[in-house]
Amino acid sequence: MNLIRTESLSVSLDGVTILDDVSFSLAKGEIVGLVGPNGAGKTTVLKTLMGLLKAERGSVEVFGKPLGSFSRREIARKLGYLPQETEIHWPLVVERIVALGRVPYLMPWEDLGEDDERIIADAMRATDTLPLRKRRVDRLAGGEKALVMIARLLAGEPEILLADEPVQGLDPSHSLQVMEFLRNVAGNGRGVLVVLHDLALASRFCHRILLLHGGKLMASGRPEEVFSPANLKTSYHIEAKYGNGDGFYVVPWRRIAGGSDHAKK
Amino acid sequence: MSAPGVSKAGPSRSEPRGSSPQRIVSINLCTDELLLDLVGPERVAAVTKFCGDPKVSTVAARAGGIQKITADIEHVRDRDPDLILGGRFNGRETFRFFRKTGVPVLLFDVPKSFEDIYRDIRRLAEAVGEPEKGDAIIKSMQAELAELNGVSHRFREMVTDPVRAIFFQSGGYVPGAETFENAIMEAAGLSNVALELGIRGYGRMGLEELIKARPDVIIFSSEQRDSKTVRGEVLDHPAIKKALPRATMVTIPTLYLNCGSPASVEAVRILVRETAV
Amino acid sequence: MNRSDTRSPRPVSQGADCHTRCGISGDGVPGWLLYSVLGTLLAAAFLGSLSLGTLKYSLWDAIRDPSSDLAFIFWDIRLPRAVLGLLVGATLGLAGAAMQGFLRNPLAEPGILGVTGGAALGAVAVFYTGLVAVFPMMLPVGGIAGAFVSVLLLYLFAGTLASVQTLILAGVAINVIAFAGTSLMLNLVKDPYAVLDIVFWQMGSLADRSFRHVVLILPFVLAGWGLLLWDGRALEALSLGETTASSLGISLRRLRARVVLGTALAVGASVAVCGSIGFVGLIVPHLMRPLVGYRPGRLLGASALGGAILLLGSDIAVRLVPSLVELKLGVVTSLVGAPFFLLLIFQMRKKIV
Repeated sequence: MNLIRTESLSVSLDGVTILDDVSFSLAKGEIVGLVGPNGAGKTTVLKTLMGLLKAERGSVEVFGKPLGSFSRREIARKLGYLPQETEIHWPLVVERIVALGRVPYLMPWEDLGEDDERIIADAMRATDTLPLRKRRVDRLAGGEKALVMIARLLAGEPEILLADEPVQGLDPSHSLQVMEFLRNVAGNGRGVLVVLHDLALASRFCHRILLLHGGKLMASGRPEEVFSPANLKTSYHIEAKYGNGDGFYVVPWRRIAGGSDHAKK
Repeated sequence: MSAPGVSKAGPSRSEPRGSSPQRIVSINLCTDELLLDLVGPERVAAVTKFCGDPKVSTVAARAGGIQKITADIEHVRDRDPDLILGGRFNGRETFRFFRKTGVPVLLFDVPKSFEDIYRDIRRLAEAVGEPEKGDAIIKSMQAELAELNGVSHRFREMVTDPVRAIFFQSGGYVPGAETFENAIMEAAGLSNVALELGIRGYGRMGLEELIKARPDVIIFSSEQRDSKTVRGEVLDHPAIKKALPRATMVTIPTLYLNCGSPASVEAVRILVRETAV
Repeated sequence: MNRSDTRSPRPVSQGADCHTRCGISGDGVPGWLLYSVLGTLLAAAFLGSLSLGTLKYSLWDAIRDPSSDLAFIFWDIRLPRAVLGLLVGATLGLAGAAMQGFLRNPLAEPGILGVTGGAALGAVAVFYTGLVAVFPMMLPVGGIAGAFVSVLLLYLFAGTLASVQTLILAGVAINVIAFAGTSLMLNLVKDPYAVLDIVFWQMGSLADRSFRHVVLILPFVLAGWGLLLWDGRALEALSLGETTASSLGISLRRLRARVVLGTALAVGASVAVCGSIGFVGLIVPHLMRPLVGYRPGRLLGASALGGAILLLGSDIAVRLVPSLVELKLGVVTSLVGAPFFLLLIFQMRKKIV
């Protein structure tokens, strides 16, 4: 069952076309990796799916219905978004940060109920952040902070998770922890769309890959299909080595000349 | 230090005595009023812009054909004056200029008593060559005040306690000893509450202090009471009427309070009429 | 390399280290404790305000028998003053907390950012153009209009994610404009006492107000409070930045409209009746923040209470000085607030660097 389906999606900002004719789908139980060079439009895809940007042409359907037919709160309940850069303006404790995930479910005058508290606790438990609950978030290490942000995402009980580079700056252990977590979440009947720069992680954990290049969807399919040498050369101007230990994986190996800007040294 | 009002200057610029200036220019409303009481309009070359406004000037009726100017040097020079009258604070540059050119300049302070007014009238009468007229005005004022004093005196004999009054101004300011308002109140036979509190010059009383003093009469200046100002709001506070239901409220038109002149007697008359009858 | 916390050097609120030394947990003081203490302090300040003054009377008698001789002291003098102190103080605290939450900057407050100045200009303009004679309600409307324009200008100059410098500069600019407007009016107005009037107005006062004033501003203040208190949850969501807040279902456009309008209504009306009183909106949220666990939503209510307490307290201080020297309320709050402000900036410089 398709959680998300886009059809010929085109998005422009200030007259510049960011996305051009992008069509893809996200099914239940899938974790899909969204990859592509810098500036390819990956963040724009997530923001558009979240309803934060308007599509110029094309359509976005969520649960079979057009995105526009949902209210802002309904979207906030069904989709969870983790932006690329973490902004935390006040040194709240972890528990409060995670509790913010419940915002779409509460009226301005309502307080957190028992159910809300339980969901928050579950989210923290699932991300191994429960012991941190009373710690101030500005005093956490990078890895712990990332997990807290994911716990916040989870506390909203979204059926679709949109994560923009959730492992940026994390050490290998935490990176793997986050990716494992996301895959499990998908496995529990949700859909996950995650933007990644680390192709090794993408190939390792994602069921499918969407390769975005210059605003167009260059390739879509299983990692072994999308990460072909031709695709990697055209989009990233790189050469990779492949492996098949426990499953297919790809490791970027060397830069190559594929355009006018990179000369082979 | 020279006496107040005497122009400080070089040898040949003393006060004109026995002369009869024909082109007198006055650049202060209060000197306008004194002047037009003493001489006819044909001898006045210019007065202030306020002079013709009946809301602020007591001699507006007589100011009809006279040129109205502002106090700056150009305008005054245009009128070719042979005597200039002014107050102490406005027009210093003008005064300095004309003293240098040899035109006599006469400055007047704000009067603090009727004696001060009499002295000013005498000075000005001498300067414009009308000493008899000046004396006549003074005598007339004294006679009116004596009559009013008689009325209030008789009233006070009937009443055992002195009639205690306070002049309540915007922002809670009250005139105490050595103010013109105090002189008017005393001339009307009223006992100024501010003096009980030892206030000299202009002091301040909060609303509760005012009520605590329990004055018999509260005096207001009409412009302050009627016009809308931020600081004037306290004059209309509902607590005053509730706390002092039997107090007499008198509003004197600001017109009669602006300057010390023969018209100031009117202020005394109003007070006596409202409080001693 | 750790994931960066913020996009630009953002001053994290002060008091961070002091409160752990004091033993308060990161999540602040429990709600019931905080509000009962604040409530008690407020009741004490309110009662103090009712009891202080030159005239002596019995509070109990005045309440029991409104027609008794000395009851007017309570009903016409003390009670309006205390109620105004509560309304205006709560407004300033609340508006300060709301602005800080919305702009994500602990230095924001209506006075520093020019909202109070603009409101004062609006109110004085209504007075001196004679509009106030047309309809008494014109006065708070003038204040509200002035405040509204100021907040809009602020938003135009600084945007929502401005740095400390930009924000303060915007506030300076707006204050300068308000001052210029006032000076212009002084030039054009015929009343010679206008200068004195306006100068004293700028200093703020609760003295000699009557119930007329309370009634005049009450609907606007309550409306403003409603709009601001509504935003608690949205401001909490904003802790994670605009993008996340939007993704959580918050309409930023509507939030901005509510904060702008709520601030303009409540602060505008308050200033129209009491003049410019500054720094309350800076000091109170700062003190309350650690006590509410830095949560912008909880900060709103706590700051309202704290603001009322601070202003009533300052008004009591004003009245303890003999009245021949009319000490203005705004002067007292500035005497406390300005050094406080400098101290804050000083601390922030160290943290940013």
